[in-house]
Amino acid sequence: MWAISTHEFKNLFKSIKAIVIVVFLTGMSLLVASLAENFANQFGDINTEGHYTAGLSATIIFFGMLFVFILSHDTISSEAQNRTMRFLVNKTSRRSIVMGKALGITLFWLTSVLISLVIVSLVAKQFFFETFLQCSVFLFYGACTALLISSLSKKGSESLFFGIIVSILLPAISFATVFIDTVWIQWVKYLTPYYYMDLSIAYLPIVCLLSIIILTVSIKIFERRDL
Amino acid sequence: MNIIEVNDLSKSFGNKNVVNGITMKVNKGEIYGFLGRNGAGKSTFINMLTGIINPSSGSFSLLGEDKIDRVKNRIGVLPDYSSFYDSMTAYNHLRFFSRIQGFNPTKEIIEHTLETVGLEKAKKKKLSQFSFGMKKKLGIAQAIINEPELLFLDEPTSGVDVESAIQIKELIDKLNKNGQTIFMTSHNLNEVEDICTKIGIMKNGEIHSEGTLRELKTTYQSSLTAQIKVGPAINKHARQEIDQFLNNEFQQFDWEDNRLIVNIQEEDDIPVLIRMLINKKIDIYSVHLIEPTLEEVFLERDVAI
Repeated sequence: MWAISTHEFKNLFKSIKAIVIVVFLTGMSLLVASLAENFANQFGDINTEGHYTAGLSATIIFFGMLFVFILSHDTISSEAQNRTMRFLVNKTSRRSIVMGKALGITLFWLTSVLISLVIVSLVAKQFFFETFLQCSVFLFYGACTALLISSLSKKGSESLFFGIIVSILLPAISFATVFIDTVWIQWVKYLTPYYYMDLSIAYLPIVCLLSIIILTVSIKIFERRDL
Repeated sequence: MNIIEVNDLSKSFGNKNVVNGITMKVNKGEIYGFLGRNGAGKSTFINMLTGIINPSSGSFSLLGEDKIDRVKNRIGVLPDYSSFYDSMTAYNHLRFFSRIQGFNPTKEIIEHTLETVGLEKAKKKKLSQFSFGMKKKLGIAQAIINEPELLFLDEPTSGVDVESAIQIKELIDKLNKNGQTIFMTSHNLNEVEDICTKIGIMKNGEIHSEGTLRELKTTYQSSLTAQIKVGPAINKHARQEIDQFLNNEFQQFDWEDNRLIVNIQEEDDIPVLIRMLINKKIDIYSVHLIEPTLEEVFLERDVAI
């Protein structure tokens, strides 16, 4: 599992798309943090976590899912399609493969968020651990969902298509719950991480639990799949 | 101990039964060759045993374990139609896949394995620059690096040049002599005949026949050929008597210059032939017994191949 997660982690950092996304994430975080710092200097003390990390949090909430899907939608589907997966499955269990990939993707996003937050903390002169936790759990949910879609898809193009749809639908439905009072939409909000991001960090274990359930389903689907 | 034990294993894709209720065993130390035409179901069968595809029904055990995940570090697999991580070097490929298997090979082990398959000079080369034959050899290297007790080779020599095919056959033989059990598929009769100690013939998703080479040949009652080199001077009368005897006893025979070629059913027919020739005062220079190849057996009988 560790060898697979390390491979996944390193591979993500090697891709141009990943570098662009990390630069965008860090740039947005730094830009908003600098603006917050300027406001603080002009209008007095607004040294709260929310002001400094607004750029990072907003980028993650609006684009986080999309970023995760763009980078990792094909982590299983493409390997199954081009048959490199055949070497993996006869070396280790399918469970280890999916868990290794989930760990690799999550570690990549933890590192990316950490890089952004370290830069923000240089401006704010403090580290925002709560934001780090929230973003990490949110992106873990994204990684698990990407793996679910990837294990369901037969081709990389299929997982990209469904990944983009899901990454648009998930935030759209979550924001719709604010305005639409239909019962099923209200229920859906409890299944996405958006609802919990607005609550205290005490609710983050629920997002973790949802992510683990999605990961377990992905493993079960992948175990039944012919390669 | 049965290294592989398969019970009523089947696989269907939609309505098509590709593997149809196979039951078989492979003993320790055997080189089991699974033979059949393309599309006979050989790869599907081996893919089920190695965890690449799931069976529709039936069961199997490897090395006494029915949970294949428990023995993955004790088996080696060369799957057919596989791709490689082209950005990796041969060295890194072996290291990466060994680690996945929970085996952390030293530099010496990796280099020795590459040398075993004749890729020592390509260890730093990226796989995108590898030829098909080189990738096949690397596939074998990743299968044998952890010295597995059981080795699955799906078409190990298909698509490789003659020299590489000979090297691979020699390697399989060497691995077997070191105690490894080998299960391989092939559609190449000569290959299977050269190296396998037991052969299963697959046809339409079922094992049509199974046994050692000799058993299969006996089953299909294939004849042997005795080639006898005789002295150059045979008088006409003696020749007629010999021909009459051969016609009565063996039916199928031929003369090629001073060679008498006779189809016999068993080795015991040879002394009968020699006694007859000596009685006719014919000088015998040499006697060769030629067994039919597997290809001749099955082509002649129109069995499976």
